[in-house]
Amino acid sequence: MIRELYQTVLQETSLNVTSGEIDALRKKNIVKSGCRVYDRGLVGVAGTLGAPTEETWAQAEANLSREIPCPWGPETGKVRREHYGKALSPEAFIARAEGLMETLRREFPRFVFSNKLSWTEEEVRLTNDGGLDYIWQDAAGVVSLLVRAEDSVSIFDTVLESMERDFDTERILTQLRELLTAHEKLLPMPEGEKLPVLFTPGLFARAWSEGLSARKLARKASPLCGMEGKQIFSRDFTLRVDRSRDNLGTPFFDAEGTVLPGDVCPLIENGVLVQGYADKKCAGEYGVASTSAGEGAYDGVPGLSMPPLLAKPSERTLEELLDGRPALYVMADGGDVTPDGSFASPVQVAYLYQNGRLLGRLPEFSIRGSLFDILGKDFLGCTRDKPFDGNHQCVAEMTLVR
Amino acid sequence: MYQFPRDLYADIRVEDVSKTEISYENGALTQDRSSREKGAFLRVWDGKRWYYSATTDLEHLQEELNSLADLASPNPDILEDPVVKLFEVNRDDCIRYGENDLRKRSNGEKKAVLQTYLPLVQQSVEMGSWQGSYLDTHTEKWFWSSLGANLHFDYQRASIVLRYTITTGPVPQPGSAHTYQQDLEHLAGRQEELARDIQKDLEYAKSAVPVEPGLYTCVLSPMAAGIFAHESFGHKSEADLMLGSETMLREWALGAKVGADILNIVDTGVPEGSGYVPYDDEGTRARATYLIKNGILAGRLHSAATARTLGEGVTGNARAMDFSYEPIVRMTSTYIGGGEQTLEELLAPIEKGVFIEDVYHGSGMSTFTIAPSRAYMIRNGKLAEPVRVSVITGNVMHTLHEIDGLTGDAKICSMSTGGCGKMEQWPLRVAFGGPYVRVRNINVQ
Repeated sequence: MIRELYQTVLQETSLNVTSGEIDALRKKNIVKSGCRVYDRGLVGVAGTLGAPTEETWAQAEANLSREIPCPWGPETGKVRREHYGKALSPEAFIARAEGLMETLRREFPRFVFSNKLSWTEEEVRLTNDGGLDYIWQDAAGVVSLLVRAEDSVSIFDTVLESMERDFDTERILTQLRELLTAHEKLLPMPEGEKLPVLFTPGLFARAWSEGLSARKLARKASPLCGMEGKQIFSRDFTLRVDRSRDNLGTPFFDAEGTVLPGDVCPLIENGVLVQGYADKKCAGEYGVASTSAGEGAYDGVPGLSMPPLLAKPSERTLEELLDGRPALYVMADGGDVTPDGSFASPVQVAYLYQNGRLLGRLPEFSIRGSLFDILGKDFLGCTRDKPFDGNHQCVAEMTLVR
Repeated sequence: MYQFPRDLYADIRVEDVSKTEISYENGALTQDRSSREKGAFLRVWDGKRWYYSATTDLEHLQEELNSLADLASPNPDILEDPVVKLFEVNRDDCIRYGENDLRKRSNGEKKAVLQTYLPLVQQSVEMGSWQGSYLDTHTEKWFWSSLGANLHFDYQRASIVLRYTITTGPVPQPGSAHTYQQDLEHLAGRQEELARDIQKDLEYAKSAVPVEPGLYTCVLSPMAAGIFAHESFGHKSEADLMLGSETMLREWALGAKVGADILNIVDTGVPEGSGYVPYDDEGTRARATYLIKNGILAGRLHSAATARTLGEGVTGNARAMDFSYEPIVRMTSTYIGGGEQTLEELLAPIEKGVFIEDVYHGSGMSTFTIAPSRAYMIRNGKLAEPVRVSVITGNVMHTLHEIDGLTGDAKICSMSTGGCGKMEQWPLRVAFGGPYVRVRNINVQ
């Protein structure tokens, strides 16, 4: 019998912003403990908030009677500890945040700011008496500011979202200055049915969730089944499970303790569908590799879940990919992809980008296209740099619906 | 009882949440989980700033309250504070599910109910992959305030959710069927209900074709209409999103014409279902709030803080996703009021339109979006071939004026999974509803 502890620790200081003023301070310190007992090819799990007690362990052992199969058992005999984040005291964070808001009120009196500024420290540990000892820790300053022009009738007009391993108010101000300066200049829609659009792979979340599940691929239930090993997208498009330090907020192991070589694993490599995402159960049943895709509630049995996916950055910057062409930096929410790959989404806010800067704001429009075209013949690449939102940006031509 | 700090307003909310999740995937048991979480959220208000703490250390709530009070500035006039004056001081013991409390039932009993539904997907050769789940949640809450509020209430839900991918059509088509009930007894014996939905999905998967993009008159089912109301106008009614903008307040002044004359939208935490909220998370009693009455802006959703800022009353809409968040302004059960037509009468004048029967998700800012999971063309006043649609969208300001037909049978639909998202707090349980609704000039893609 092996006893295993899966534990998450969240410490957070969060400030609420209303009409440009900080009007609330929230502190969190939440520990969640999942106790797992492996025996006779079964797993029993029980959980508690806070540290586990003998009662929690006893309940986990009793839950073996629920007979959840786990023939693959736990990881054992591995040690790795990663501390990616630096500490920032609540007092220092609050002082910086108050300074930031004071500057924003002074510099941008025509805009109203709201929502949250937070400093978050997270830790996840997976340890067992078989010698497994994984600890991951990270910390981040999270900016989520809704911005509304004073004369606007919208809920909000634009948003600054960023997550970085510091709370660098100068960098945040630089981003906001560029965004808001562009926002004040309404431009006509550029000519052309198609234009390059900046995005991250999350724009097509349903396509990945349904299409890249190894279980669905094996059971012919994926829209991408039959395409394994084939060139389905551009050679410049590589989509990877990314548990590296570069993917902020992502532990290097999944809830089953699977660690990837180099902390990354391609599912689509140079446009070729190489494998689906799989947890250990799926890997065992269908004879595929586990890709660190076992997740779930801290107090449950991990199951197959879409892992953190990022596009592999190219060697070229955004400027190099566009070579002087204009592009659209968009905030698109609510879109979806049909099983046959037809994608459409409204664009709530868009800015025209050219030659290294945002030139101005564009009227509302929609984007659409076939997933296979957008990531195929219309795909320009994924940037080496992180020009917006702290993300490498994919660039592809999409059809604009005005 | 807790010793509340002098010269400050404070409240304490304790939540005791029990959940069960039992799942089978393609025939194998993969989850059989019972969980129980107890946590508390504490708030202190000094008239200038709120101080919050989320904690699981229920043995030391008094100390936590005292430490928050130390951060605040004592205010001898706190009882005269306009926000504090708006807080209701309710005292109630409203335990509704004592007799059929889901916590008293074993996982074995729950698993047995789930197993009666599995043949619906297990025996179908057309299901390439499936998952069947039993899900329940029982929540017990306590709320105390320095003003003397003292509340104890509960709510619970139990669901069967079947998810599957149909592989007999031209492309694999994901689908789902579910039933939402308040207790285990009512969950039994609803196989025919789910079988009807599954059959619709099977037929849809076999013959759905891509829709021709364009502007259409759409007819929305009660579920789709409810999501439309929630996304297109509900979020616009949440008063916290209006603060700080005189322009917005002028534009959205009560009494303004915002939709068609036949349009009524109501939010209420009173009805049983996934939007049932007898008291909100600052102790305000649930009530029905007309957001739109006969096309006229009639009300807004409030917390005490937003009600104070806008000079209006509280509505029972200050809600938190769980014990670790502060209450913010959220919807409960939001629905469009019924009209007078039949579904046949709604469809009859439409030469070429789209019927949206079921939905994956929706979202809303200035443009609302709904991603349909099942849609059909309407041709010459009749339902015709099934079509695959990525999204339907429309401008919030214009679309409410485009509603020109409602059936009489408004229905509130509860959600077994998911919920409403607002910034960091997702998912919050809510309900949607309405009659069948006809809307012109919807962008279908």
